[in-house]
Amino acid sequence: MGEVLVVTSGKGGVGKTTTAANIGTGLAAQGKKVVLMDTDIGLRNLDVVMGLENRIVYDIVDIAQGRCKLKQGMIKDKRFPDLYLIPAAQTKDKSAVTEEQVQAICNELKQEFDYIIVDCPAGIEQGFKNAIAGADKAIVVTNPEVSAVRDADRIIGLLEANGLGNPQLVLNRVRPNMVRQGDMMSVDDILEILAIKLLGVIPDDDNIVISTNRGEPTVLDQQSLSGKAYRNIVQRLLGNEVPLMNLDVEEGFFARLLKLFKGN
Amino acid sequence: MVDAVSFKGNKDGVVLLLDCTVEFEELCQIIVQKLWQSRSFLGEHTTLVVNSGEICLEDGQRLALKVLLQSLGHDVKYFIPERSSMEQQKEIGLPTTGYPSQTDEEVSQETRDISPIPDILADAEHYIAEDTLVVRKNVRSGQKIVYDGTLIILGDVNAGAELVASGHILVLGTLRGVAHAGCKGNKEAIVYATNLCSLQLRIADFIARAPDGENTQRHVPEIARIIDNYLVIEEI
Repeated sequence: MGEVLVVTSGKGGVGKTTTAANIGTGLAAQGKKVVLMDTDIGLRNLDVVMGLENRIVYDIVDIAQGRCKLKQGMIKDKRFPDLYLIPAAQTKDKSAVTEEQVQAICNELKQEFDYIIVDCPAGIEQGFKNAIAGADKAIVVTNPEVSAVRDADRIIGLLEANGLGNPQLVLNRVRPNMVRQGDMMSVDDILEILAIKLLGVIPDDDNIVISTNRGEPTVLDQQSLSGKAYRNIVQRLLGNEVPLMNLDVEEGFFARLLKLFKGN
Repeated sequence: MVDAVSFKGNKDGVVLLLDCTVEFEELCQIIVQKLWQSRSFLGEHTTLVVNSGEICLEDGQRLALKVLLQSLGHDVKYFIPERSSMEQQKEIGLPTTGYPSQTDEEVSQETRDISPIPDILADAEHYIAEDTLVVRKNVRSGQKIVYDGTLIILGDVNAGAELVASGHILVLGTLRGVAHAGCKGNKEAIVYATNLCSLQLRIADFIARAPDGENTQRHVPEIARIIDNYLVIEEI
């Protein structure tokens, strides 16, 4: 019996889709059977981030409304044999599927797959309700910004009210330099406000932009810091203890020396 | 610019004079405008002679023009200057046999004598859609245009947008979204775009997707159609 994980945030643009794509791909890279499900109907993105846009024929609305079989609507990933994507529809809106339909799809997928990662739309309306309908666990993504943290807090409350207590937190786009200078909230500040379990911290990384545009999840990039951070999250989801990594590694002796010469 | 397309009458009927120094995409747009403006003068069904002056239109351009004119209710009598069909077939590497032959062999021979339009152009006559919808706007992500007939878009079709037509689809602009021509099973439908960048194309029940990882922005007019059960995209 698999597990349905919903990736949600409340606020838009904090990295839900990126996180869902990387966690899903990371789990598949560890040999798990994974389905990624995009519930952001009308504003789909997960297919682009996964680089599978050109393969879409059916979408979640077609599956929900019985226009195609579940298997027909699942797009096989080009990298891993046991990774699939269920894309959202682009020309419909959130009301095109119901909570019961999403729940039914999740229940069917759970029979065969280890993990079902649901990418939730921004907001707290119907799309959010659809996304969490079939979920067993929730992952809340936020940024170290007051507005994002406030929305995350609201989402955690809503998740609890819907029987999804104890969500796990992914803190995205952290900039260690700014935290050190006191210009950005630290991990501890945020954990104090939200008081939930920390799943991982992702540094702000230019590689994310590159990999998103290329449709190659950064979790597969052995060089990038963000890739390593996502691989650590995957290990923690699999139940392994991995210490939080030091995000300051790029600030080595030579980097500091170079900065000194550059005059900043 | 509007002078790039003009009409002239002679013993063969109405001649459509084209100034081919203008970009083909622009030319098509002007043709649509011109035909609309002169609809009272031209009438419903006019067989036109297309004269492109000194410049000889490419095979694909001829097909595009023919389909464009047909979708607007007119037809092409012949093209000036002429080209032999054998020469053209050699150029685009098409087999000389294997195409559905005309039902009336004699009639087709006769037409070929007057106008050496290659087989693919002759075939175009079989699939004239009865109705045509001309859309003068950019079609954006999430927008879907479904039409029972031929669809002409004067503008761009962005990624995430969808065009579905039972006839042809002609995009005089960049096509980045999904286009499904001949959605009711018409295998002879075509998709034409002055800049074809679609990640996925569908004709009848055929689906083709763009290759992974290749970013080929070529900015040349292209036509997609079914040849021998393959969805083929040709530069024109």
